[in-house]
Amino acid sequence: MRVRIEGDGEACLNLCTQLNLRFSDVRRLDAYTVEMSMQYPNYRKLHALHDGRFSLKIVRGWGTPFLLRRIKRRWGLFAGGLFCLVIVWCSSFYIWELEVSGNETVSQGEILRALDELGVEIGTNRLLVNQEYLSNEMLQKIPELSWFALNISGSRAVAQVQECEAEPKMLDALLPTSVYAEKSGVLTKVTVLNGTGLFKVGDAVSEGEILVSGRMDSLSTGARYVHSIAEIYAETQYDLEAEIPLETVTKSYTGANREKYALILGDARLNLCFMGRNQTGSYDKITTINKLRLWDGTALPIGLVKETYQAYEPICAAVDPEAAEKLLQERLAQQLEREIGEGGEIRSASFHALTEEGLLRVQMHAVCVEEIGVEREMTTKELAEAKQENQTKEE
Amino acid sequence: MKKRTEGLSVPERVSACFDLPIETAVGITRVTIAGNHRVHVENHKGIAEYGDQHIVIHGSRQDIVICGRDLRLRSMSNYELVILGNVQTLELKPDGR
Repeated sequence: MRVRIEGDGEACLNLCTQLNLRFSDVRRLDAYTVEMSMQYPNYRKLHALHDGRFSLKIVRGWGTPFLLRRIKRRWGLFAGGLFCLVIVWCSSFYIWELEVSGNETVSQGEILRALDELGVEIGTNRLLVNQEYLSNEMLQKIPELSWFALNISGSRAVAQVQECEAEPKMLDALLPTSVYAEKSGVLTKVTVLNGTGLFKVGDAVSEGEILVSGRMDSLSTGARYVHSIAEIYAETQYDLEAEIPLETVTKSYTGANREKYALILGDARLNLCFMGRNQTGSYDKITTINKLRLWDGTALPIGLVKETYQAYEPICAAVDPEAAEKLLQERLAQQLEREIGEGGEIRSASFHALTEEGLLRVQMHAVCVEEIGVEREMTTKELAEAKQENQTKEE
Repeated sequence: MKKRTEGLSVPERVSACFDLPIETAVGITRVTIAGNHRVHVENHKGIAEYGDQHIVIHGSRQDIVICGRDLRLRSMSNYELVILGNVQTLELKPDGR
């Protein structure tokens, strides 16, 4: 606070030092007036002990006592503050933020929809949530979940889930199967663990041909049908192609940015900007939501939405041919890796680029080695034919 | 030839006898001036006059008169005080009390 001393200012300063009262920023205004800054408790002590040589007067005050003194007759402010506190206290009993964690295959939307159906959503009273009931119902609603818990901390609820592990594919050893070629190529490795191999290394096979038959002939018992197991590798050839236009449309930002604000109250949205709602032309819209939180992180149902509209004009720009060619080569290489799978190997690859009608086209020729054998269940027709053959032999 | 301790108080004489710095004697006012903008007075006896052009401080045996422009008392305690401003002269005057 700022105190004005009228009269013998020096006597006042000396009295302060004798009473060990701290003060600062002493300024003389005129021959009879001095001003200084000091704390309110020190002022009270000085005021109680000062003699008639000088008089004290508070010029300006900062802090809670002065604020309370200024507003002590304004009952509306106190009532409003109290009302706000009650609102904040009451709102802390409701869920204002709902998150999902731990899900990988089950979508967040599916979990939130299921929670909504069970009565848990934004604005639900957290005291009415029955954890055990909710967990049981959620596991029944979404069978892919093996565990569910809703952790509520203040106004923030986190739905933690654990998903069931996928059951491993069982190998039915009694099911008669054949191995056929998934792709055309020249065989480089043929390892038959079960079944009858129909080709050897160096043979050329075409897509769909049966490489290992599930039928095994025996002199004593005739034909029998087994589950074929084989590892078949072949040298395959790929011709891939990709293209890109040599002119592309890019954004040229004009710098004309507009901002709009809106207030979120629970589920309701209140636009604070009523002018120019319809933005015309091309623009990027960036939305930022700032939720009001208490000091302990508790979310409140109040938030401010800021929408920034960045206007731009679409313009045509030329693409660097070298960079575009490199990009296409990378894309083709990635595509080839996806096609040959993890066990495959690229033996050689060559690229050829050409420009046609404003397009850059890159062709890729590659030679790979990959596994081409795929199991397939023997059809009823195959089985019937074999059965008939057996009967004919017996006759 | 005058004695070295002539005109000194008893504590000052004791300090002089033991070749100790004179400011270690009890009750001596010590004035430190840093450049021309800060004056530090230790062991003062109060302020006699205060203004933005001159400040008079009671010392142990003399009054210290500081003249200048924009002088102001930065801080003050029972033992020491600090004056800031544009100090032009610093004068010792016989105690007016």
